[in-house]
Amino acid sequence: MHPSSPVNEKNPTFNFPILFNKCLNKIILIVAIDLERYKKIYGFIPSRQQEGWSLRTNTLKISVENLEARLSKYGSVKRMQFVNEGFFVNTDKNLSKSIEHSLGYFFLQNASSMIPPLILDPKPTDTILDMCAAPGSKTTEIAALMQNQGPIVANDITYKRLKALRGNLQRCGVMNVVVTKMFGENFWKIKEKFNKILLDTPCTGTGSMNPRILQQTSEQSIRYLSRLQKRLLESAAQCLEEDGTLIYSTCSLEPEENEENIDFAVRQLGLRTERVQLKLNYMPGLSKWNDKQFEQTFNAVRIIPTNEMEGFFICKLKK
Amino acid sequence: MKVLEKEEVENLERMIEKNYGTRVGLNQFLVLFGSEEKIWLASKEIMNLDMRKFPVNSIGMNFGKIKRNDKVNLTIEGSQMVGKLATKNTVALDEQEAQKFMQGSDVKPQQEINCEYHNFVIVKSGEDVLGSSPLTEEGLQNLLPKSRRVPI
Repeated sequence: MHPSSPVNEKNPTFNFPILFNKCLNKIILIVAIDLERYKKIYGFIPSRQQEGWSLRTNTLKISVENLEARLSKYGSVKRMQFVNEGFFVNTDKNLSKSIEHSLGYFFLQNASSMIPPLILDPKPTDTILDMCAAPGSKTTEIAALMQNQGPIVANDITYKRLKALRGNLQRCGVMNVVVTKMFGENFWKIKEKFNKILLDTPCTGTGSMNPRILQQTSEQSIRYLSRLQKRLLESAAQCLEEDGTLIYSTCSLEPEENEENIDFAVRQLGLRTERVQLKLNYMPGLSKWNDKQFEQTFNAVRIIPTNEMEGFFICKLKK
Repeated sequence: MKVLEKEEVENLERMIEKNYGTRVGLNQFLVLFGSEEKIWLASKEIMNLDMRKFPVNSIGMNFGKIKRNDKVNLTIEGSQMVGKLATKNTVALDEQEAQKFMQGSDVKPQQEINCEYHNFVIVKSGEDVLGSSPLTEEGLQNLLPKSRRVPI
């Protein structure tokens, strides 16, 4: 078969001209993702260099005061102002290899990712769905806030991710979680209603400002994830009880993954946003991006990337 | 997985009492019996969910495993639940030995409290409960899972 033929019938995936075009296309699009777009969002290009560790006390096993005393042997310990259980620890030691970590006294977790469960405000009487739960940082936080009572359904899809999730739930001594394995987009088919849902969706992860992630992010990947996130939102909205709370979050800076999806939830799914109060510096969600105007996104929270915190987007939605 | 009946839970509670000299109040949890003789504990509120609807992968926390002759091999979390109150089959390690134990080495305990050799004992160090391991005349045989070991 001539190489310029549009389809190689014997092996459709092994067609050089098409593959070459795809790669070239991707390269061009990667170049098109410019850090300048963040200047449009924040007014400057944020940068971050992670220093030290951020972690959350697992109050199911140890008190905040006891852990603080124990961590001080590793280096300087600073309490987070906005999360009672959170600490910044400055040390050369690898805390993931400490006895305290192995015994489940804390969870290594970026400070920003501790916030969505706080906004969800789980109570022991709630029934909660964590739709994209692995590796379980937020699930374990929710379980601790619920004092190991009240059911949580923690869902994810791949065995590798579920293994990490189960390992972390065990290490933290969590007893009120049922782990399920299914595509989040299909969760609505179960026809079970929850009064609180956390949807921390798969995203580009550009909030970390990690050069490798920024290089790999293309307009294509943003568009692909944005579509997936909309499907997850649609599924989550159907699983939500009337007057229930849905927290949507990503660690992405991209408006296509954030405000655009909130706009979709408001206009297409009939949800409404609700304002949240946080004890930290953040900016509200964008009201427009390029030519698009967004509805009710001003209630969303955009955490600006800093050395201590990843960039994060959080929005509280009500049915 | 099978949900244990009240009587079966009571039998398990007696087994723990016989081995470790304390009761843990298992009746406040949903107690499940799974493959490889594993015991799982879950909060009772989980019963509010209609499990038949969900593609369940796991429920609750692994508490331990039933072994021959009514012996119980507790997980780290199971040991932490029982260990705070245990009066039997408990050993204590100093900080250095605790570090070695957490690295996966066999160690000789400094202090043994009502210990029966060739049985599982709860390993403590100060306020910490490190897990459970079989005790022989030579010392503790380390069975700490690899994923929970502290690298050297």
